[in-house]
Amino acid sequence: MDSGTAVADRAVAFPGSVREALDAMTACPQATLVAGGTEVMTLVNSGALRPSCLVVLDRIEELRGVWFGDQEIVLGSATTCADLMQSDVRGVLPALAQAARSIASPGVRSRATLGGNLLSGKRPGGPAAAAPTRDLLTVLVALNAVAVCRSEQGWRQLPVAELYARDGGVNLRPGELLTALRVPTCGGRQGFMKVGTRAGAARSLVTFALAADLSARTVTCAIGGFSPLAVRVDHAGQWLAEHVDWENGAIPDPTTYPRFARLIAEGLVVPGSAGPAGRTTVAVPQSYREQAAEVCARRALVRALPPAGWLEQVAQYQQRAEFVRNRARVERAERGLPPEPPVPGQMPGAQPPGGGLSRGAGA
Amino acid sequence: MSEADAGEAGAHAGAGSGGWPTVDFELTVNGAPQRVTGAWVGENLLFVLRERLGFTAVKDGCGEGECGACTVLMEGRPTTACLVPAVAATGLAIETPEVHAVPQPDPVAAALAVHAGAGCGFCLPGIGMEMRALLAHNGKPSAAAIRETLSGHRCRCLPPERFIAATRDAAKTLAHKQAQARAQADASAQDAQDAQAERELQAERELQAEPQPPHESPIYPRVPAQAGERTQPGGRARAGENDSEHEQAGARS
Ligand SMILES: Cc1cc2nc3c(=O)[nH]c(=O)nc-3n(C[C@H](O)[C@H](O)[C@H](O)COP(=O)(O)OP(=O)(O)OC[C@H]3O[C@@H](n4cnc5c(N)ncnc54)[C@H](O)[C@@H]3O)c2cc1C
Ligand code: FES
Ligand code: FES
Repeated sequence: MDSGTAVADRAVAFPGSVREALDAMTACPQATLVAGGTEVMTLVNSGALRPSCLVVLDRIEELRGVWFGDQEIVLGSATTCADLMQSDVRGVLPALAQAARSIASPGVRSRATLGGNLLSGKRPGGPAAAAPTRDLLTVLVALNAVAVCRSEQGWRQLPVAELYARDGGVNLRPGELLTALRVPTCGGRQGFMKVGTRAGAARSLVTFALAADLSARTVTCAIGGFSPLAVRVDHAGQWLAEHVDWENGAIPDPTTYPRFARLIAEGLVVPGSAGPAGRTTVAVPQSYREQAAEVCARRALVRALPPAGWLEQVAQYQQRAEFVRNRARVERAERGLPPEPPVPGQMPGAQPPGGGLSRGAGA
Repeated sequence: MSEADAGEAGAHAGAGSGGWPTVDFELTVNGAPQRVTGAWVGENLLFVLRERLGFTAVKDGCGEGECGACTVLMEGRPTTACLVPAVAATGLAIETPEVHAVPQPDPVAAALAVHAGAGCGFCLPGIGMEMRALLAHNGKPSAAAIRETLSGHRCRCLPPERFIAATRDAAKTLAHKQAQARAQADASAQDAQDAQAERELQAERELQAEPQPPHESPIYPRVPAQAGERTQPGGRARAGENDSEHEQAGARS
């Protein structure tokens, strides 16, 4: 850290908008960004970090909350884990809500943010940091989320998995702010499971998330928690998609569940698929971790795709999503919250919006 | 809270000695404004509450968010104070255990004293805050809900069952108190109605009736003197409360 001479005339900034935040970051390049502060303060309290200037992000309305659109759901980066557990999110992105609920304790969740969860840990070239757990990342990878970053140079959008280097460090450029995550809407059959070091609030050993896209008839799943990264397990997803009766919304063969779980657990050691990248977060024997992965995968699959009857559930989901969409729009207007999410016009690789979110030209 | 206020906090920032920049700001603790001057930007809320402002019911256990001893309510939500930069709490309503337990313990503090009295007590202020936050939105929490809510609080002394029992007890007392308050409100509304009716009746009577002849108190009717009873000199002449008390006391003795 620099000495007193480098201290800007303001040691704290409380920007009220993304624009002001970028200005504050330019004014004080060595500033520490603080969203909820749960990771930053752990480092500060232990003496590993000595901030000389804070930019506090928790008052930026633009970055807080969830925008429910027809094509995509936009999650503001400063949305807290407690907010992610709320009923609207639970209805539309059940796996994400479950993951948020599995993180730490209510006292931490009320401050810990989505952005902080994804961005805690090492920066390229930065000091060594404790291997972070990023439980929300596993879900976002399974849901094909896109991270949206903003800097003075403009917008940058990239698949969320590409935010990280091989060793789990965060590839955020200096002066860049993570504004939001864009999640394409899908049929709502999602599952998340975590095995931690104990039953209560605990760091994860293994996390597993799964999402089925009913129109494309594909299953995407991701495993994480054993390292700072989360990885897609595509071969298992493809195998599963072939064993699903998409017509009737069922999994006819009951052995599909354990066989799928086995595939996931084996994937833990297959190089190039889900092999441990970077350092592990919690040290346990590999056999135990494999078993945990197997259990996670099986349970998440049962949650997401029970043996039968999910066509009705999908219909219900769609009704609920429609309801949430409309109500959220009205509520935003009533409470004077920003109507537009902090993202640029088009999601990369998305179809042109057919009545989707209408967006301005960006901030 | 407003951004302008929050911005003010930063405006008073200065460079402390040796690269420890300091800030002046104001916190709202238990409803009262508290000025903090010359605090390092990296100071956490726990430190500022305990060491600078003297709210020592907030306990310092781990400084990592693991133990929950430092839990306070921020805007009504349980928050581990050790993980909040104090300056970032500007403009948010902070509640510490003091406001609930001093000088009169509230139902939660009372229930903890009953069920968790055998422990050292270090974790209790934090657990109490968590319980209050839980009971504020769930009047009858299940054991599972209590366990999940309290899972971020480490207690070295007591098993979790104590805290489940304490939460249930506190919930009952709170429900009882609320019912009582409601009944009282109803009753006082009824009383007010009765009083009004009585006043009207009285006014009517006064209008109509002749002055009433003096009569004996209907509440303390004169009791015929019994054998062996002490008579108060002049007591009978003053028909009133004291008098009848003496009578009763006399009758008992
Ligand atoms: C007791 C405890 C238990 C935990 N258990 C779990 C667990 O079980 N599973 C799990 O996944 N996690 C767990 N965590 C980690 C927790 O999820 C993170 O600490 C939290 O999500 C970080 O969010 P924050 O807003 O507090 O981040 P902060 O501490 O404010 O920030 C973290 C980092 O991200 C940067 N940053 C934040 N927002 C942005 C942004 N918008 N743009 C650019 N940079 C940004 C900051 O500069 C900082 O470097 C636990 C943490 C604690 C303290
Ligand atoms: S001191 Fe804050 S949680 Fe332990
Ligand atoms: S009573 Fe001693 S730590 Fe809980």
